Amino acid sequence: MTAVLAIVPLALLALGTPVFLVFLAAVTLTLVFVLPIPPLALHQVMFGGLDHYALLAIPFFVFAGELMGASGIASRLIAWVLALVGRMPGSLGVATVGASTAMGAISGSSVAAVGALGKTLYPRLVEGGYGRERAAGLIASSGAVDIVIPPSIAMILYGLAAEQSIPRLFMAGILPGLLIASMISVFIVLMATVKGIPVVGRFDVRKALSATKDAVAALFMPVFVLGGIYNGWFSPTEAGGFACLYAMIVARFVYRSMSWGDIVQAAGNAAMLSARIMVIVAAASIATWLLTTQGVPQAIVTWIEALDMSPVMFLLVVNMVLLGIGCLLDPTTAILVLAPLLVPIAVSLGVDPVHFGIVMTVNLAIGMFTPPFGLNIFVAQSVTGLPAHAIYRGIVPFLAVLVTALLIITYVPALSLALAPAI
Amino acid sequence: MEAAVDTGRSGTRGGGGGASVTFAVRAKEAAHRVLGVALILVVGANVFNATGRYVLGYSFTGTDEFMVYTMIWVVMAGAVMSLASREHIGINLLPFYARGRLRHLLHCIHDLTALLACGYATYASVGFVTRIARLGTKSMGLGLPMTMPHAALLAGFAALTLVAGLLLMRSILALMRGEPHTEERS
Repeated sequence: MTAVLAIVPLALLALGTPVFLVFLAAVTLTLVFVLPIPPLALHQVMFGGLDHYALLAIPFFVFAGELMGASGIASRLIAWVLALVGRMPGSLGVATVGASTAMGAISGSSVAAVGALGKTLYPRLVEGGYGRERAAGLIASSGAVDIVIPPSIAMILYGLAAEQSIPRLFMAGILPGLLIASMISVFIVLMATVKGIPVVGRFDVRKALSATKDAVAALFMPVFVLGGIYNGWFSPTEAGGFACLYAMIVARFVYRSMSWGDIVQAAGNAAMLSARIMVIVAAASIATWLLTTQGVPQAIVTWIEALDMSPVMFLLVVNMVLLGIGCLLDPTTAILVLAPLLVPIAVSLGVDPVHFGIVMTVNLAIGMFTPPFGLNIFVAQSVTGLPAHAIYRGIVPFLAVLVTALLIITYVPALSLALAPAI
Repeated sequence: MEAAVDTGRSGTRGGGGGASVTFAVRAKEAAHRVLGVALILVVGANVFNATGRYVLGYSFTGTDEFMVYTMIWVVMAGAVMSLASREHIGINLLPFYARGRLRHLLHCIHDLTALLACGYATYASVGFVTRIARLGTKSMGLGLPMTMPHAALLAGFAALTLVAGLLLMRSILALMRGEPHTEERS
C-alpha cells in the first residue's frame, strides 16, 4: 500500500495531471485505505490552508504584474534600460537583464517578464548579432532574476510553508537577485567582446532623460512597495494592495493606456492565475499536514542527523536535489512540498531558515529555464518560434553562470542576511 | 511564479452546438469579469483598511475576514473554470506532445482522477459544513455564519466533480470514436 501511495502521485504527475489533483488523489487514497482519520479533516485543513491573510499577497502581486504588462509599463521599463546602457559591448544583452530585473521588482512574474522581453527584445538581439539560440537562451534565463528579486511569490509561499517572516525574505532576496543580474551582465559583456558582437547604439543624454521621464511612474512602484515594507509602513500583503492601486492609477490616469474594462479584464486574468496557485496551496496543506502528523519531517531530520552531515555538505546535497527537482516541478509545488520537510533539517544544522529560503528560491528559479520542463523555455519557444533543442543550446552558458551564482549565494549567507536583520 | 500549464481548450465539432458554444463562451467571459471585480473589491478593501489603520488610526473590524473569505470563493470558482478549460498547473510535457488517442487517454486519466478526488472532497465538505451549520458557529469579525466561507469549498468541489464527470464523458466518447483531438497546444 505504501508503494501505491508513493507511485500513484508520481505517475499522475508524470502524466500531466493537474498538481492540486495529484495532492488530493494521494490524500484521498491515504484517508480511504490507510489512515483512520475522519474525512472532515480534509475540508478543515484545506480551508485552513486558504484562510491566511498573508496569502492575499499572491493575487495582489499577480494583479500588479498583469497591470504592468497590459498598461505598457513593461515596455517603458525596457525602453528606459535601453536608453541607459548606450554604447558598450553587449549593451543590448545587458539591457535585457536590466529590464528583467526592473520588472521583477514590480511583479515577480518570471513568465510575464520572459514574454514581454521576448516580444520586444528578441528581434533586436538577433539583429544585433547575438544569434537566434543565444538570444533565446538569454531571454529565457534572465527571467530567473524575477523570482529572486522581491516581491516574489515563491518567497511568500516559502514564508507561509516554513513559517518565516515574508518581509525578511523579501529583503534577503535583494542582494542575491542583484548578484545574479550582475553576473549574467558581466558574462554578456565578456561574451560580446570575445565573439565580436557589434556594438550598437550610442548613449544620448536627451534620449536617456526622455526615457527616464517616461518611465518614472513605473520606476517609482518598486521604490514605493519595497520602501514601504522595509520602513515598516505596511505589511507585504498591504504593499501588494497598494501596488495594485498604484498600477491602476498609472495605467488609467498617467499613461492612459487602459480603460476600466481592460483593468477588470486584467483583474480577471490575475484572479484565474491566483486561483490555480492557491488551490495547490490548499491541496498541499492537507498533504503536508498528513506528513507532519505521521512524523515524516521529524523522521527525515533524525535520519539526516544520523548521517552526521556538515551544513556545507547538506547545502550541497540540497542544491543538487533541488536543481534536479526544479527541472521537473514548478516552484509553487516544489516549495509547498519540500519546505516543510527541508527547513527543520536546515535549522537543526544551524542554517538560517531565511538564508535557506533564498537558496531554495534561487534553485527553483534556475529550474524555471532548465531543460526539459522549465516553463520559461516553453514561453521563449512560443515567443521566438525556435524549436526547444535550439533554445536548450542557447541556455547552457547561462545555466553555468546561474549555478556559479547559486554556489556563491549558498556559501556566503551574509549576502542573503545582510539586509534581512534590518526589519 | 508560474508553472507548466496545459492550456488546451475544448474545440467543437462542426454543426449543431453553435448556440450552446456561444452561451458557454459568454458565460465564461461573464464569470471571468465577476472574478475580476471581486479581486478589485478585495484590493479596495485592503487599501481602505490599511489607510484607515495607518492614517486615521482606526481599523475596520472584519475587513480581513471579508478579503480572505471573498478570495476563498474566488479561488474555488477559478479552480472550476480552470478545470473546465484544462488550464490548471501541471507538468504538461506528455500532454503537450501527445496526439490523437493518446491525448484523449491522458485526458481520461486526468478527468477520472478529478472525479474521484473531488467527489471524495465533496463528501468530506458536506460532512463538515453540515456539522458547523448545526453548531451555528459565527466568524469573529463580521459575525457571519461560518457556513458561508466553508460553503465555498463545498460548492467548489461539487462543481469540480460535476465538470470532471462531463469532461470524462466527453473524453471517453472521443477516445471510443477515435476522433482527432481538437484542442490547441500551449
